[in-house]
Amino acid sequence: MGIGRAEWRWDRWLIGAGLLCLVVVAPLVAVLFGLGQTGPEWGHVASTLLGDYLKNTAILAIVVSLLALLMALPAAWLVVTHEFPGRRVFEWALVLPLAFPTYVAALAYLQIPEMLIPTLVWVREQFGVDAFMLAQTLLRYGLLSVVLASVLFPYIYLSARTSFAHHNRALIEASQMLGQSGRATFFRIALPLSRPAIIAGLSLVVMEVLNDYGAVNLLGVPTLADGVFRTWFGLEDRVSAIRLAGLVTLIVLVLIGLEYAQRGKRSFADARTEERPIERCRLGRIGGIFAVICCGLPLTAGFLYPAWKLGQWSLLNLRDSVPSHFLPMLGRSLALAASASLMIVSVGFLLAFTARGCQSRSWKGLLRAATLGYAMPGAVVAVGVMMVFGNFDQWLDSNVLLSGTLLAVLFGYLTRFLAVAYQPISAGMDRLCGRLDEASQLLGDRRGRTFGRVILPLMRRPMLAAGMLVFVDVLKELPLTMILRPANFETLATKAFGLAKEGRIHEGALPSLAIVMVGIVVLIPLNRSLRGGGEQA
Amino acid sequence: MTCLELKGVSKRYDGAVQDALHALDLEIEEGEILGVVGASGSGKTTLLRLVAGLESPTTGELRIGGLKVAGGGAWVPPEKRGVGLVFQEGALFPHMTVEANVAYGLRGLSKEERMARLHYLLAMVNLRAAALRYPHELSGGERQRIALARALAPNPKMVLLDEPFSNLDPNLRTYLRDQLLAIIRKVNATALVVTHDTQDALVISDRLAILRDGQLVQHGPSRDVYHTPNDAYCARLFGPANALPEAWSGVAVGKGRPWIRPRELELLENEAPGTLEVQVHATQFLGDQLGVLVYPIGVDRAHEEPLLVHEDLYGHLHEVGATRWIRLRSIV
Repeated sequence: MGIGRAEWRWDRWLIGAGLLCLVVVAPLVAVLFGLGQTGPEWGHVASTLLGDYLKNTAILAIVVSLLALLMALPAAWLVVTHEFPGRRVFEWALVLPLAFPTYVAALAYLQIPEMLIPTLVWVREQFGVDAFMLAQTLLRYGLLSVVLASVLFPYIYLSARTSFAHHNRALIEASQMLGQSGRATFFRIALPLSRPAIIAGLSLVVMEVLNDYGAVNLLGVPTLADGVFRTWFGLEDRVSAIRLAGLVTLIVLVLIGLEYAQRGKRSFADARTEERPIERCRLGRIGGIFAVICCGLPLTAGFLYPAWKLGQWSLLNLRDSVPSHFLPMLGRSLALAASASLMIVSVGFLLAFTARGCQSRSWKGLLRAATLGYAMPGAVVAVGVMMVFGNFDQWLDSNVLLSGTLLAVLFGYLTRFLAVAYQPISAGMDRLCGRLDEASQLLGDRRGRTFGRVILPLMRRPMLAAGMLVFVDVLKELPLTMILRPANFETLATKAFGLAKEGRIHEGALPSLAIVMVGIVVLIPLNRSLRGGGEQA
Repeated sequence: MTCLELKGVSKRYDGAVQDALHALDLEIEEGEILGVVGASGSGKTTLLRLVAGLESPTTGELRIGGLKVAGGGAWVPPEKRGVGLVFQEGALFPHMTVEANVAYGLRGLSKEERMARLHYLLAMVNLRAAALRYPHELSGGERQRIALARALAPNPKMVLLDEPFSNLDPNLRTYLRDQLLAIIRKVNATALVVTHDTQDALVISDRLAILRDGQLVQHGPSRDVYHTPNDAYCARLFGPANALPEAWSGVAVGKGRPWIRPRELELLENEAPGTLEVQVHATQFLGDQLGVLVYPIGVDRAHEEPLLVHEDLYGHLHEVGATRWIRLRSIV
């Protein structure tokens, strides 16, 4: 018998979905358990490396956050509330840097330290070795921060833009009528009202910084995620790597908790006021130039410059012929991303369908845990997957090992990207299907038939959107793929990174550009649907 | 002295085919309350936003306190016009306390002066106890009173009220209306009140302006506008009105009274001088009074509307088909 909203009980569907959640969350649980492990090398790692990892991660998180805020907030405010030359283009184009994985952007910027060598030499000659070392360190940290902020600021830009566009116009006008200038209104009214949205965007930026492996590695700033790699593969100290991964997991959980707590403070938002879209104010010549600079700089840093560099290098590469390894690698990457999307969207759909109307707290908790993977660095998830599969292999005690197979890679993607598929599918189901499943059940359909006849046909579009998002994320994914992939299995991401690591940045441009192009194809319609969802056109 | 003066003000929005407001001439004297009424889309809100400086006129001039604020190349932005605005639902800043909301527009005062002004304003709207509460902790009426205090805080030259009583339940509405009126009168503020509720407009306004399709169709003291409407639109904006029966024109009421309110008519059982013979067509129970629909004898019922008379509920019985005589009551 089917189950209505009013009467939920633990039936076969729910038990099956619950078990699925447990499987998905298993790598994260394994990593947390790993915190309790001790090994002979941990003392060395803790005393010599951990401090640097923590310091670097904290410095990067803070500097990148500040830079990203500086890039995102003025641009978001200007495109929503002012009219200036190019505003319509900037409005959508400022999302484009999201198409760049951090390591691809870093690759485009790798030439800058080389170009600055004469300056560094001059510093050494003028001020001595210490000043030279300091300048070199500052250059590395500074460049990495700019690269990360340039491609991550759209997370804040998107949430702030949506929030500014939904502000009650009367509040802004009330501030003006009470004698406040546009700037004072921005700082005293618009910013505080958008604080929850801005912090939500900011927390994504911080989590991406924690997750980053490629860019920090290329520019030589070891962070915690990089440390997991170094201890596992460099020092071959698995226990310490697992402990580090556990530590990152704890930090991420604390961050999620903080973000969740600040979201609870939204109660001051006055839901009863009528919301009218903000009317744009036309800027004069000087103001217009200022606005173009505010929007143009982040766009140039996060998209135009790296795209130009990659395009230039790719053309150099293609002048003779397409490298022989490129097309098979492209096919392999697309096939892997497509199969991962299919699997993850199916699981997301099944969970969202089962979750409909269920009020059970334990089920909700389980679901939240299963979608936590998105906040965890890829390296941490990979470590968890290796622990789970390693134990499984031991338990099987056969010659067939699951670790190091594509199954492990796909499982890692499932844990890491389930939330990416689950959120849009769940939202779509709430919006589209209403109480249709109840109607279908009352007309005599069992749950499985309702699933096939009513829900599935209605959910095509949200599932397609979810699939596209997962597809791009899988295509861009680097650390998890690097750790879990079978030997000699190259994707666009691993190849681009590998070539850059070997100093063959020109050759790395072509696979990088392919990743970015696919990202853009998905981002543009997605951004349009976001704007269509309520913002003023 | 004239506080607000509009000369030939028109406003056409981008892409619109006709003016939202057309060639408007209007004045408000200092200390006067002007009510602006009209159907939806008549241009009431556009007028208010033009005065506030939230829109600029396409043509025409606006002066506040004698100073040209818009038109003829002049433009004073909203924050420099010295005009207070009370929004439809208050538009209180949700992240600030009541105290911070009211003090938001106070500038150039010492801390003591600021506190004194704040206390005065909160006492004026009878909400001193709510100083540290947030807007979402207030009732609808309290929010509107705080919004008025906030608008009056910087001592504006005039205050604009945009549908201040809409979305309130009827009891609270009457209470709040009386309170706001008392406060505005107490500080002798000049006010422009935009409302679609003509009852509110009649109660609070010294003068009324009626807009239709962006044009000013009538304005004057509230009583005159109510009793001598220019046309059917102005007449029916304030409730039911009867067109003067042809048989009566020039006889009973003469020129200038083409529209008669149901309450201005009286039904008599016997003929008297200046009366018109009618037949009862139907009756309507209206709660505190009885509506009696009558036709003058001899009119073509297929083409004429019946006359509506509001009678005392506890007066005479008026059976359908009975013959009666109607007379015009004298207005006090």
